Amino acid sequence: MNDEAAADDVVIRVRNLSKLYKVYAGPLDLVKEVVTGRARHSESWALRDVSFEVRRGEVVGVIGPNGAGKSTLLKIIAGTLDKTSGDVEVKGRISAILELGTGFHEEYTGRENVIMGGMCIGMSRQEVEAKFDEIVRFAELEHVIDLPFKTYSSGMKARLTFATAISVEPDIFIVDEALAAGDAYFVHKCLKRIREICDSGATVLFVTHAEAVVAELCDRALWIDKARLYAQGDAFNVANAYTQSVCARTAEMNEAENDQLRQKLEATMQTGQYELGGGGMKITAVRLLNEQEQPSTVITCGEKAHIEMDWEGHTDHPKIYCSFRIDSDRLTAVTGFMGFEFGKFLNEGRPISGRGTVRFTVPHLELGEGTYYISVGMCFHTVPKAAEAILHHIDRILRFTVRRTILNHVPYLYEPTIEFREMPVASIHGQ
Amino acid sequence: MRAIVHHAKSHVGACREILLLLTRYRELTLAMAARELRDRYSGQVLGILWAIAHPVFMIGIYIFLFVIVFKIKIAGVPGMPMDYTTYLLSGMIPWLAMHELLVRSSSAISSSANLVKQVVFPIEVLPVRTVLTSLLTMAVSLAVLVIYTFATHGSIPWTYALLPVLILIQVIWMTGLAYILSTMGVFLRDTKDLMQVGAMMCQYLLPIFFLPNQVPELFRPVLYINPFSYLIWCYQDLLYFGRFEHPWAWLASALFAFAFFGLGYRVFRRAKSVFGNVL
Repeated sequence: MNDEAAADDVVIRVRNLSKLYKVYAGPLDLVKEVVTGRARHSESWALRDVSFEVRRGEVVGVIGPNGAGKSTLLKIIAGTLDKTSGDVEVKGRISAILELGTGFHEEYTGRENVIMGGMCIGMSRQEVEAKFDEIVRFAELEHVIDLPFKTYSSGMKARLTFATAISVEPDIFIVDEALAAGDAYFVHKCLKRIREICDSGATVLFVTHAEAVVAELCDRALWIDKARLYAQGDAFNVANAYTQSVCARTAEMNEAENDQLRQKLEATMQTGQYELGGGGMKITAVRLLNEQEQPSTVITCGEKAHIEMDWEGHTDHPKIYCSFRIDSDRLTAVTGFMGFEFGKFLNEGRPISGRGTVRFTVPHLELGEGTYYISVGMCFHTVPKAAEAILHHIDRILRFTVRRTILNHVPYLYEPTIEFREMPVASIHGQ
Repeated sequence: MRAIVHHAKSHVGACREILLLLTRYRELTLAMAARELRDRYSGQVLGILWAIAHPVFMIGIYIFLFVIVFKIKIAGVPGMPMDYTTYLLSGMIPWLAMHELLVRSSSAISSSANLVKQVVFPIEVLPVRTVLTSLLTMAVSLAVLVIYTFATHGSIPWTYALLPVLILIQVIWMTGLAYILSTMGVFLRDTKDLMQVGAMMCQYLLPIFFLPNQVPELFRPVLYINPFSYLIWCYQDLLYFGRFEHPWAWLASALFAFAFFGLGYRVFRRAKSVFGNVL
């Protein structure tokens, strides 16, 4: 009995859905194929064997990398694209906003565009007219609504098109978060509106790249990857797993970039660039190690990290020191270390030759989430410090990523462990 | 036998389905048609007046050519109640509307790719939009013809009263055609140009310029093969002869209209699910 009631509640049922795109190089190929009967296209699976159900009132997040098949899935559910095989059942009026500004035309006024745009996404004229004031108020364009659309700035256009799109009240709402555009203030407002819709009891399919938004807004999440439904379930768990995979991909990207950087290192050794103090000493390799002393390019915030540097060569200079610097992609010299400041030298007065390894250890790498670059150098100590003192310096030789343990993304540069506690009432009064 | 019955049933079913759809979306259809007209002339000083100016000038040129320049006289030819210009125009006017439809409906879907792909939109409306806009051309031309006929003959034939019936037949016909051509246009973008060229040639293969007794014997079958000939004969009955000169043409037109209507919509309905792949 209960099962039956639950089955009635399913508003979207997708079973073994697959979608094959036939890609033709040119319009003539299609004609040739029809005429000769010989295939002249390449095939590309956008979805394979995807099955899931969505119940009434559920807010379901769809996450996955670009090109994974998210849009294809939503278009098939919305009915704007056909399926190759499988079943799709949808109960109720769907509104899909996969693109903004459908039905909008540059030459018409904002008013005319809102009416026509609203009708194009499924509202009747009366409905749009009834909501007109609300739409314009949301877009905050009351003062220009009767001017031609082409005179609007692109931000104003984005606001009006989004406000129109979001005003429909369908049973099932398919929305792409990427459409919330404009300045930071308006994006915030759009997300707030999407939240309201999610909270209002509507069934929502929500495409986003922000895992935190999925975890926060959605009941469940679908993770689409390489045309398959990779995982589905509780929004928080799926979002978490997705974050892990993004991290793995980040590591891959870092590795790829570091391979190129290593070539650069070899190149600087050949050309002698940055060897202002004359050759002789060379940095031959740089590594980043994580808390487990394993080479890694992804470090979790707060974890212990080691930077290792191999050197070889010979120099007569009496005081050789090593240094490193960390840059973020937003800021040069986030932090760093120069041995001479702390009296740390490789040699004490004697010439040095051969090879060796030095290690800088950061007990708690409390950098904010993001991408960072390591530069390293070897210099001899002079007072005052001079550029000629640099034996070998390699700029931005290693890329690494710092990730948070929390799903949310924030632009912090520095994120130490912060303790929080409530103070006893007495101490507030300073007694 | 059963197959035929089934076939006929689905044909009628298709017709009913599309009528229901269009009734439901009539507001949207009208708004889209008005929009298309405005789109065409948007940003221009005279704007939508051009939609009226075009047919007025076109018909004006024909009148000027055949009344003032060539002075073609057909007085005395038995059975020809009015002058050659009226004869020409009564066939030319429905054909101009048809011509416009053939060309414009070919891109009715392909030019609105985002309505097809990005939003849940009843795309059945799009081909009908072109039917409505080409009707405007016809209405304006007809108005010019009425004025001309009044001016030269002092009255118009009583058969003008039947015009709404014939226009209805033509609209049904055009709707079916628009569905077929817009579907073709999605898969073969060249349809628009094929229609442009084809319609231009067709103009001379239709009983528009020829007087009935002028058609060479050899050429006659060509006229009878072309379905559009029947429609033009009907219009000539109403606008020129003032009597049913071609009664069988009425039957043929009604049949063609019904056939195109059902067939067109069924072709469209079958193909529409794959539009998203091709656009």
